[in-house]
Amino acid sequence: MIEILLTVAFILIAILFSGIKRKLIARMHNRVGPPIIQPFYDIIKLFSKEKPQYLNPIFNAVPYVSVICSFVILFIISAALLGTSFDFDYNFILLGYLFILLDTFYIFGAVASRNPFAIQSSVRELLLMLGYELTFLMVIAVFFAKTEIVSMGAYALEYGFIHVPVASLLLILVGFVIVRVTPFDVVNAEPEISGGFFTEYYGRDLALIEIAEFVKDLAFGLVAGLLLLGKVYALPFALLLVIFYALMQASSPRYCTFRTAKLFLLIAVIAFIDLFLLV
Amino acid sequence: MHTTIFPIGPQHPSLKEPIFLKLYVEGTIVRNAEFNLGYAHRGVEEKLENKEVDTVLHAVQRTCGICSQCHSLAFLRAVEGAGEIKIPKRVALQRIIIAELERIHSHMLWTGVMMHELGLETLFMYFMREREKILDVFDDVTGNRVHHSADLVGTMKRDFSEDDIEFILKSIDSIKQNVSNYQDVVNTHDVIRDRCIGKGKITKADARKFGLVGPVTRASGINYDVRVNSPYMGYKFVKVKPVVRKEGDAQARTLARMDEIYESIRIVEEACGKIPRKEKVPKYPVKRIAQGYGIGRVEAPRGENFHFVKIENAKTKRVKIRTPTVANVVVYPRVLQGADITDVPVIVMSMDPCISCMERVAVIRKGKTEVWTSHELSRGRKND
Repeated sequence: MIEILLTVAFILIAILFSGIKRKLIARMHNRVGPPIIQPFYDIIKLFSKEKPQYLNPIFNAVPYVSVICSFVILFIISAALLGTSFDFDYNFILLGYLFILLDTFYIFGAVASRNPFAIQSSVRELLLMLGYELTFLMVIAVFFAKTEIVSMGAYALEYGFIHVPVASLLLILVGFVIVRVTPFDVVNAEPEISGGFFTEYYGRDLALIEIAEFVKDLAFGLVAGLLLLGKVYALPFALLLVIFYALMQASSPRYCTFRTAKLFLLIAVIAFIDLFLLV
Repeated sequence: MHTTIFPIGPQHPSLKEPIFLKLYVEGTIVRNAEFNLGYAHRGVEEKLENKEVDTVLHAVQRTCGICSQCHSLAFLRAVEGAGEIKIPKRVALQRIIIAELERIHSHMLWTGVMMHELGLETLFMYFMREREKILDVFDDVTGNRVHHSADLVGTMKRDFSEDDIEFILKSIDSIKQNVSNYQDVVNTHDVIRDRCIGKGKITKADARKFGLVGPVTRASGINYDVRVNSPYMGYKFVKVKPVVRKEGDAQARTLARMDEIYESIRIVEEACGKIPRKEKVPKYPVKRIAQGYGIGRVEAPRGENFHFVKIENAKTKRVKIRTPTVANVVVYPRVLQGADITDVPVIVMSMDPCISCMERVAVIRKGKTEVWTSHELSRGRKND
């Protein structure tokens, strides 16, 4: 029960963190920016729009499936942070797969929409997935191989970034793509491919996808905090990551798609070597 | 490989004005490109017919929101040429000060938008902040921030006071330092260089063949600038050094425009120093020009701006406007061929298109274009 309460709290915090990110970016731009609770207003407004009428069942299902997937990710992290009975063995592997699954759902939705921008976005995501999703899985594996623990709840390595510095650095780099900030946010590059995956979504469906995205961002921050600093500092570290990524978003231009893909393949190779040396 | 159509526009986040770019894409490479215009046609030329010259001047200044003064100068050059009207040196220099300030703010706006296309929103906002200083200068010296309406035939609406000149010099001095810092970022940032160098390359031969104008052609190595080749008004009294680069790519065009900001600042400083302090600006404009015709060529921020004016019975019989974007837009299909989709916004924006003021006539009925004769166009309707 308490895991569910924590999950709900995390969902609200995820939306709030998104507001903080927007405010920070605005201040960097020398703008006043929206209020921190603006994402709540946005979501309420999107829910008040009329129900979209789509014909494609896959396209219809993706917002619901992706938001459920993101909630499950948060639930697993909540259980791990609290150390309750829902913290099962090898849950970190499931967590990695759920992150991949979430992006896969977006690709399904994008292809089903038949929008050229969305399809181009999914092509970019497929290119990048080879590098960053593999790296994400391997980096998590490095942390758990170091501690020889099988569940996230039992993970007790404090200040993990000192013990596995390379993997820690790679985790932060992978975060650029997962959280979608410049210079590696080529999947959502507005000037070229408009709204990317979500070009055709609107109203309630878009609200659900936005929630899933906010939750994914927070989930990544919590996982990174758990691995790099320990359970107690997971949430403060997630906030710190939000600030860091907001500053990066405000201060760097977007990189080319193919060079980003090549860079993340290289990062995957480094992660593999790091894991290989440890195992 | 299968070719798909990738539409950019008429409404798209990378476009600030409506134009339809139809890209034929194989994978992510553009194999062919077409463009279609006509989404922002306002019928400017038709509106300018059969009206008194000062009324037309008022409307001409509203052709473009960014280079309002350049349209004003081109029209005045044509009208003052037709009427053989001589303007005092003080007026001539004041006119080009406003034109050069306009060039500075246009190039700052453009560089900001280019940074937005590259994903660097912060620099976009910083450039807009600096641009505000120029708009404040316009507000101070002309009374209007965007459409300055500073000129009249043979004179100016407002004469610059000593305080105005001091304010102009103070403002451009503060801009100079900040723009220099931002230029360092544009020059040295690896990602910006990587995304601009070699992209949208236009050779010197192509620039000549397509008849390109402005910073686009100067970035391809052609030293052509109306301010130098055919000096007009205050440019007869100041020295202009065109910024010419050889590379011809998006990076060269970016840097050419940024260097032009410095050149314009230098011209403004020189012109402010050369304004004759004791000379008087004529109080009243020249009202009646019975008949005649003239052409006016000026160097707008985007290149050569051309006006043809024919006056009959003290009214404009015909006003023809050719904005620089008309000359530059024809090269889009050529530069986009072989480009990656990632580079399309950068290449398109590096040409600095200004769509609304280039829109003239596009008659399309049932998907087919129609050709109108000049007589029909002057009447505004097709012959039965």
